[in-house]
Amino acid sequence: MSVELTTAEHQGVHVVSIKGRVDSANADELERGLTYLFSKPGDRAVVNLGELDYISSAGLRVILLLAKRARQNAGRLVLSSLAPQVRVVFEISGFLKILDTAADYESAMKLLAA
Amino acid sequence: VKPAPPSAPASAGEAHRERLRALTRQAILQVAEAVVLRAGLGALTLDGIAAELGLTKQELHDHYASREALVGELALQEWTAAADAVHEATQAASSAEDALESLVRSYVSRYTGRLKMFQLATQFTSLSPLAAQLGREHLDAIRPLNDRMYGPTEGKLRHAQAAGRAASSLDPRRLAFIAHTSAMGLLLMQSMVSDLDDSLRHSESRLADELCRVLRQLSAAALRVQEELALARDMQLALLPSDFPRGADWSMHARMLPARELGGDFYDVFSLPDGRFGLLVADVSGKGVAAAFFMAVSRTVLMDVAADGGAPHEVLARANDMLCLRNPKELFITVCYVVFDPATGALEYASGGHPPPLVRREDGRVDVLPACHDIVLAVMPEMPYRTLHASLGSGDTMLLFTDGITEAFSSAGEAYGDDRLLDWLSTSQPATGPRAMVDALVADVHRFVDDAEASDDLTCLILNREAKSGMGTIPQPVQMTDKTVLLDYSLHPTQLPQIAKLAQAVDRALSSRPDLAFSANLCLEELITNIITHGLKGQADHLICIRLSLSVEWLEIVLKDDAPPFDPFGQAAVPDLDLDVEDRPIGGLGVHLVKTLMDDARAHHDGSGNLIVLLKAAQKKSDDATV
Repeated sequence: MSVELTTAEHQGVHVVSIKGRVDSANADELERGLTYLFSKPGDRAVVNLGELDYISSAGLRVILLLAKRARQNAGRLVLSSLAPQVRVVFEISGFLKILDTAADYESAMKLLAA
Repeated sequence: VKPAPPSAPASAGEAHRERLRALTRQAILQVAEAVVLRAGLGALTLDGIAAELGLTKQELHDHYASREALVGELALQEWTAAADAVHEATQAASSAEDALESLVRSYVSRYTGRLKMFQLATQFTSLSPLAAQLGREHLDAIRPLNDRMYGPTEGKLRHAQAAGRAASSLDPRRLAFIAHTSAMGLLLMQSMVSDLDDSLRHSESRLADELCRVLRQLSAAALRVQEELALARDMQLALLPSDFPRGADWSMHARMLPARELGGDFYDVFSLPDGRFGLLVADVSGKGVAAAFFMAVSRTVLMDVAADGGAPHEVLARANDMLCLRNPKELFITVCYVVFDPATGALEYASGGHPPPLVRREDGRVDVLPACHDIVLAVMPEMPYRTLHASLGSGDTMLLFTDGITEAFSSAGEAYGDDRLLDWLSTSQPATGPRAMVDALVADVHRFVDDAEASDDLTCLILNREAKSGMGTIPQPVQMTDKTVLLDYSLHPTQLPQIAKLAQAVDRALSSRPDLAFSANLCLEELITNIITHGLKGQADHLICIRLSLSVEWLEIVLKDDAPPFDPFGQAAVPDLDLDVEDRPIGGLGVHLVKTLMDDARAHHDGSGNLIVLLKAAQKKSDDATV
């Protein structure tokens, strides 16, 4: 079991899907895979977590770093399609209060278009 | 829609001519057969046939360009008719045995009084060089005819084999072929003597009776041998112990899989007078009945000698001397004999021509214990052997095996080999217990050889000393009744990449409760990374033990390390969850996640290390259905 990253671009928005599990052993790998996001001012990105089975605080750290970079570069980040168990981890961490989330990809794109 | 008009008159005339032609051809073959039966093949000439049928030479030539062509077709027609006759007779047979008999009888009776046609059909190719050329085509044509001739017999034999009424060691096709060629041989003998002297002739039916009797005896003998071998196999496997001794912190298991009905491998496990245990794995050269007998003798001798409690090298030396006196077939035997002291984990071992024991250390390293380089047993008396010493620590696993594992070959001809065995042992899961490990190894070898036939007996013996979890008395914040331990697992700080492997084990252990498995995995990972970075401060050579237990009310997760006193729950600051993205510190979430996900989380230092006990209510809460 490992983490799998697929990236695409749609209507000027970076679309990233994180699949599998993100733990302390592979969080660095994820971090490297996401460095290209928010490298330019005004970048917009949807991170789809629909097939993310597991995330620990090591993975939350990577997401928080991404959100900080988005804020610094006047970009926008939306997390979409969080599975129930993953959602609870984000909630306990207080991330749902400070990060934009959407139920699915379409609503994430709408949120970014607004 | 009108039906299609009848064919044109021109083509009706064509069809008529074709019919006439076929009739003529048939008449030619009939006359030719009559000539052969009456006066022999030598009397058959194209001129004679033409005269008998009132045809001109040219007319006959239009049908058969040469005498060989005519004889060739006559032979093929005879094979076809014989195949049809045998097919029908065997199809009607009520059993496999009857089918074999019908095959012989219908074939032989076809040529009673028609021996010259048998000669023609079977000896056609020896007639002339041209006939040899035609003969090759003739043979190609015969193959499908044989399929037809043997088909029903083969089918009935296969059916009988599946039902255990016929020996599966005999190939049905070959058996049908043997019955057919035996009948041919019988007819060949008949045709030889009939050319010489009629008084030497026997009745075909009497000879066929005799042949059928022999075939029946052969089938019955093969079946009896098979049944006897199956019985011998059961008895041989019953000789090997199937109950294994075990202690509070050690257990073992072994298995022998013979390549054929009978094997030459064996293992044995017995207690010694001083409270230690003797463990044996051995491989007798050769296979089959001789090896199996020698295996039984060797096992008795080794057990007798070992029962006195001598050192391993003395046991092998004395057994060697005794076996040299009882070895009429000049077989030999390789042995590894290990004496295990459960009180200390000490191992003493000696080996005669056998691979040394492998020991998997608790951290997954595998040690190949030093080889003894002493000679195989039963070859030469008064040979010296030596005893070597090793030790099995807590959490270590010893594997004894025979070359049926390392020399198991895949269908591509590749051997399983030492490296694959070492890798398997290194990544094996001793926590699953020796029985599951033995099964896993056998399954791994079987996967590797795929469908290839086993070339040798396969034996392995696994001895586990359980990991010292040191969990001893776990402080109980709540009373847990009917607690079941679901998982015992140990992990080295250097094995952080294996956190996913631990997660798989937890998922399996809690497969009925994926919700609990998720929380358990998250908390385990957070606490393990915490112990590594804060408790052990990156030092290697430590061990973290994990135990998962479940009762009706609670999931209990226990972690034990051997680090200096450290309380993750007391020291971690509570993160401020209300800070905005820019102000949130990176990190500090792990312990918070554990405390929130679990209903109770405590750490104790018990003098030898830190013990963390987590509890989570096993019943789903109505307001929080997901975690």
